[in-house]
Amino acid sequence: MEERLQHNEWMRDIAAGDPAAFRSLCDRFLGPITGYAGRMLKNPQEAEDVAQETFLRVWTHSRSFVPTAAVSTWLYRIAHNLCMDRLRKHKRTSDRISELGDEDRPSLLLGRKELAAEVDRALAELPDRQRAAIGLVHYEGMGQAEAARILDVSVQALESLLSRARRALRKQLTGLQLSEPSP
Amino acid sequence: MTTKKKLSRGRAERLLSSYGADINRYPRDEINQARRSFADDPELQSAAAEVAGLDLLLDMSQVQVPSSTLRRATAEIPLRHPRLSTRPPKTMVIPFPLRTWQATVLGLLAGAMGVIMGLRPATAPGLPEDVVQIGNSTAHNSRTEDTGDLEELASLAFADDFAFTDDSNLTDFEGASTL
Repeated sequence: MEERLQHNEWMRDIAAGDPAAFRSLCDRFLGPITGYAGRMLKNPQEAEDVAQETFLRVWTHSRSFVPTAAVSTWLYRIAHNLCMDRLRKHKRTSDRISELGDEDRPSLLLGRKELAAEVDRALAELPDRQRAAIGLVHYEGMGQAEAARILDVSVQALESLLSRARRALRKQLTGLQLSEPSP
Repeated sequence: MTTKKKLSRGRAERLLSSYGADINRYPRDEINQARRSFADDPELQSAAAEVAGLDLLLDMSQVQVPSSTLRRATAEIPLRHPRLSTRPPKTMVIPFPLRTWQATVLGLLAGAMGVIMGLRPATAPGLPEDVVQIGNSTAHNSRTEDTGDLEELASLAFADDFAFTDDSNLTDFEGASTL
């Protein structure tokens, strides 16, 4: 709760043109927003563009922030909408993985790096909204209400997205194991 | 006496399938009930163990961290997009009394109208058709020796398309309608 108050205070100062408050907000949220955009877009450069655009909008539209929602919700929603815009433009499909031959299929025992790459690939294959739901709840550790608000769906719909996403991931990743013991 | 509620089997399975095995990811108001439900139900425990495998795999995904270029670019946003004014003026400031201001605007409008009307090409009665009246002065539009040079230049530049004709004035030449 205290953190939320602090964020609101930063937003108020940013709206008044305070660069120091803007820097504080960047320090707190640039990493998570970049991470979220990275998971959504699977393109590091585009993810950075989205993160930068998100904070540019924070600076230029700070007066439109209404503190009924958490600052984090507002930020993630801006980033999410920017990601969805880019994904719509690219019309990414799952063609890439379906084009892979049998020789490209993962073996059951993989090194840590390879396994992580397979997980990333499986995540990238998810429909955008399912990937967003997993990104917000599993990776960003966001509460249901906040994640649902960012995705503009009900909590029930969010749970449905999560459930379908996890089912698809289990199907993609079934049988994969780490060949080396965890450190 | 307080009854310690548990989740229905269906709800517990739904939570597992949506949020995975980590109870801390469940909706806050269902965490305690979920904990009790899982503690007493071996079937739910084995389902949770299975789901936990997927959680572990998902945790292996690597997160992108912001580059130094992005950090710098973000930090420079306030410098590159300075605020012109932090607070917009509440009311428009008029530097002189409203009546004077209104009179000035009306005067300017009237003056502008007058200029427009005065500049409009019109053939005054009694003047030949090729004499255009501009204000109090008149200009003769018939071809003179001076326009002969202009015609020559135009024909050189545009070939025959824009050559002056005998009965045209300076602004009405063949081909203009195609521009």
